[in-house]
Amino acid sequence: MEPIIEVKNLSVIYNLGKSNEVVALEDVSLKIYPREYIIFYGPSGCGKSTLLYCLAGLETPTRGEVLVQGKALSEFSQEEMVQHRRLMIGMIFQAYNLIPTLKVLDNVLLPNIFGGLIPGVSIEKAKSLLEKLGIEKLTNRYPAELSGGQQQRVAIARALIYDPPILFADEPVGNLDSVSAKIVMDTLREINEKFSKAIILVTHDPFYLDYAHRVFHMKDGRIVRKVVNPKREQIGPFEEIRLIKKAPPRAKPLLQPRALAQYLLTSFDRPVIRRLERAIKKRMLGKITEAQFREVLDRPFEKGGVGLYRQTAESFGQKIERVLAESEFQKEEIPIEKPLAEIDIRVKNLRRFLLEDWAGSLKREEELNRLDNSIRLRLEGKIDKKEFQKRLDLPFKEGGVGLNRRTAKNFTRKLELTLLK
Amino acid sequence: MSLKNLIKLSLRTFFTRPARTALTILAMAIGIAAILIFVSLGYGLQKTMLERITTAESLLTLDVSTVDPEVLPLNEEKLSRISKIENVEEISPLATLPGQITLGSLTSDTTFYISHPSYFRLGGIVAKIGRLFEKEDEKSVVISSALAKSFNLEEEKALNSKIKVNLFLTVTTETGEEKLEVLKIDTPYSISGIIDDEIMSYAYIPINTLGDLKISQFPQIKVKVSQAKFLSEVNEKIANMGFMVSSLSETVKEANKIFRAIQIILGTFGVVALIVAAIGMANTMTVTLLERTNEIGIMKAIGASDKDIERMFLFESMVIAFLGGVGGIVINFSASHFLNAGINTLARGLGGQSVVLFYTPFWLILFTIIFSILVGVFSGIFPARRAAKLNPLEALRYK
Repeated sequence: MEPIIEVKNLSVIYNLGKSNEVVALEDVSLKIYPREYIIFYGPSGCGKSTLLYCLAGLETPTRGEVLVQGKALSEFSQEEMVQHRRLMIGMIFQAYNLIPTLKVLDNVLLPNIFGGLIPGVSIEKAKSLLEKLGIEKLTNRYPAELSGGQQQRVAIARALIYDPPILFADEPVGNLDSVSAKIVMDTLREINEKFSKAIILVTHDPFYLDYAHRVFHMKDGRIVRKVVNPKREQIGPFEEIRLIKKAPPRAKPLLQPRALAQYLLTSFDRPVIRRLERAIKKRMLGKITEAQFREVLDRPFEKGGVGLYRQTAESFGQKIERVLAESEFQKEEIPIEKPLAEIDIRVKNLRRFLLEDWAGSLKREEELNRLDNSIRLRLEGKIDKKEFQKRLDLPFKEGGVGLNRRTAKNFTRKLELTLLK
Repeated sequence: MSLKNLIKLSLRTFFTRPARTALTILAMAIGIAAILIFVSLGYGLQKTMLERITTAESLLTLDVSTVDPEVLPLNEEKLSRISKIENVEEISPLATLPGQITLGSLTSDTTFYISHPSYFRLGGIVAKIGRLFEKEDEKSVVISSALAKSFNLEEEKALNSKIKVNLFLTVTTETGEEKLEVLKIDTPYSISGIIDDEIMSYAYIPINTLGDLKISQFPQIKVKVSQAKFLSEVNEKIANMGFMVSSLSETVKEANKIFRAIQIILGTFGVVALIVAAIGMANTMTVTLLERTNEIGIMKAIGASDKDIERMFLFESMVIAFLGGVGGIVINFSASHFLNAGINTLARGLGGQSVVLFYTPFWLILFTIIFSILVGVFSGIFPARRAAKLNPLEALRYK
């Protein structure tokens, strides 16, 4: 069976290339099969919603690829993307997101208002959907006159109006009391079973995990575990799903103490850990002395250091020195990052300088690479000011960075100013 | 998106934000009305003035006169030559004679204009009260209001009064002396109409009522050409015969230039008001955009294209501007109606004539409608583009 959605090495980084870069998703790969009920589960900020919006084509991945029915979203034209959102997927949000100034019936028919009248999609269809969801009496009310559960069911009807094969639900019961929540969750399950729709649902509430065929546990932008629900009959191809199933699920009671212990032991943020790693690598390669190493650990984070307390830095330094002294031989085996040439450093600094006070941000890694490349060429004098601006301005699909004209002009001006100095 | 749905989605603002929408429309209406009223005033003034001095035919008419009657008299022979010029449709000569008018016991000196009834038509002369004579042999006289005044007559009462006419003729005797002869016309004339002229004292009498008197020379004739395009051609031909030619249409052209300038100046004042209104509208649309950011996010997430969003916004601002235009037209008509009525009441009270001060030509109304829609497009296009370009996810998160 072919997957309906396939994700390959997907990463999303916000504020790409700026100093406040945030990694929201890192190297996520997965396959979802038609009619499957999938839950992305994890604490808030783990990247589960970002992943959902990437699959829905609303978020642009920095790296990697999302394939829907074998077609890459990144290669969609604007029109194809509109058609994708219209016909392939249905969206359900935590805040229902109905249009308050339209009556229930018009809200349900809203996709069709934009889509142009597609045969078979009519007032009758909308009414029958509302009836199936048990809210046919509310047809002529405004959303504000409905309870949260009712509103969410209207939103479900809206998502179903075009009969899309995939439904996305972002914390659909997050705003609901438990009774309404159960009704909505049961409705979704029924839609999954009776209407044969793939459902991809995001939640942080472990209570609902039993609804899904498979649950993807997420943490810090990664999928940490894929768990098969033994209570539901699996849909995906035998090898893949069963393989996961055979791996003994870790027992819950064991997991929690371990996670807690980890939390206690490493109370550092991800960026801090990264810098620490980098500093250790440098020390291992002998690029910096012991004293420099400790200084880096101690230096405040904003000034490029790791930002540890003096004592912690001292003690870390000592520990590392001890370990290093005993494992000198490992030096050669560590894959070495090529040291940055001077021009690369200049390029990086200039790029950061350009991006820093820009309100927008780059989406794709390739855009960043192209920007760097253009700066390098300009620094080396291989292109002139005009050509530089042109490269920034050119649409992404035509090989440019894809900035708008004003931004391209601003960047060019700023760069030329620094070159004058 | 079908038109019906476009209307449905775009016009929600009339129900959700009625006050704001109404105020925006009002501002727009006042801006449009300002232009309309000013330009209508310009047109009204022009129209009133020109209507006073012209009829359609008088614009096709040339005034021909002689420089020196001794050397180059305008006589019957010349008249027939002129009337045979190509494209000359009609001519109407005018003779002048000094004389006296007697009304009751009062006698006054005046100048008599002896003419055909067609002279009034070609000269664009209209009666203030009463009527102009229509027949060649009618025993009627049309006098200027200055002449009526010299008899101490109220104009209304002067109508149909009987007067007697004495004409003074200069006769050259056999010896070559010039002698003044008085020609008394026995049958009295009745005053049929009065022409508005407070300065000059004169009276028009029909040419065929003077009995045996034969008029052989005319100081002035009116020549009507068949179409305006022949004016200069005929003008040239007559001028080549040695006569002086002038035309009202030249004068009117000059006057029109001045009025055009007045209209432009007045219109500019109105444009300033409209610009202010248009900026206000762009502002409203921007506020609407911010208010609807979340909604735009929803719409885009469920399959609205950029074009759909842009169209919705643009349509909304076009409708608001269009209604502003219609409102402006309504304000214009009621305001000019009241202003006109007020001014006329004042004018009548002071003994003046009532006039139409505001005139809104039909094309101006049409232009206003189209122009207001254009203003809507211009003030709506930037917010609409911005709305269309919004990133759906960021828009969804916007609160």
